Amino acid sequence: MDNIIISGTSKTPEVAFLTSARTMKLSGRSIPENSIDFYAPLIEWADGLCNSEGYVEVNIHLEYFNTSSSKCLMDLLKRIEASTENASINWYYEEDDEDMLEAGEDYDAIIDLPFKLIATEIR
Amino acid sequence: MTTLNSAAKNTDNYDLVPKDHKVMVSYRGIFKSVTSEYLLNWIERFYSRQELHPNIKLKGLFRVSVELIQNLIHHSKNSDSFFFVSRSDNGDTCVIGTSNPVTNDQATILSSTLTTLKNTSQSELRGMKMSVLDEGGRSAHGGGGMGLLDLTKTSFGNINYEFLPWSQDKLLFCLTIQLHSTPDQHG
Repeated sequence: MDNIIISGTSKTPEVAFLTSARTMKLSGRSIPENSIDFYAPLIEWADGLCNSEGYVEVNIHLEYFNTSSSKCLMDLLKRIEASTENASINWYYEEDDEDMLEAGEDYDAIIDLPFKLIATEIR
Repeated sequence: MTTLNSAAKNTDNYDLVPKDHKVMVSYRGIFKSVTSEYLLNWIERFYSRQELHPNIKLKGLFRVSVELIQNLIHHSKNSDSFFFVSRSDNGDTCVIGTSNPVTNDQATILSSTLTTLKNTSQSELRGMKMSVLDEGGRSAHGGGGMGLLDLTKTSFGNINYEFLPWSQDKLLFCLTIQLHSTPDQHG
């Protein structure tokens, strides 16, 4: 499996899905008009990684995301949850960003994997 | 000569802007991806120059604008689609609004959905959102009918709408979202 490295744009997040490190990181903004187009290959990649042996770490450090991205993020996390129990999710939010904290809490309530909510300093 | 759009000629999009507000950004035309990028850039640039109340954060303004603009991209191909952001003189309120023609059937669905959402508490809205996230279906572009739900929640129910006469078979759907410095203040 090749790594997926995608630079962030004004509408799509920076992606660093690394095979050997077994980590997935999304950061920046996620507001594409068609989120499925963007997330489908990432979900497929995650499925491949999680079905192989070893621990997987997911880091989500998004500034904000649109509602269609929120569904795709859920699809990504559910696919990981369905493929392995050996994974954890770190959800980063800026310490004054109640919306991102609440979003993290909502995913945490739905996804049955270790889930850390991590406050970061305001940029 | 009477045309199908005779009613529209009497409708000024700027009537949506509250009388005591200044328009920060507005656009009328067909909404495409590039339009969205342009408008969102302008909102970010203008935000830093506006002396808005610190409780009106760029993220909230941006979040509402993204959903509204993307609604127009996905659901309106009409060149009379309109978007604006305005602010009160004292900077404690921003209004983000759109208008676009819809069919009578669409108007019925929108009206019913918005009436329900406006009468739903913040905690119930959160529950509904989680339920759509967990179980709901999705549209072709990836959403699952969460846009209006999210807008209602983000604005603490300060979401208003009306349907104005437009043509023989369409109404003009006008939607405004108010962001207040004290978020639970209903406008």
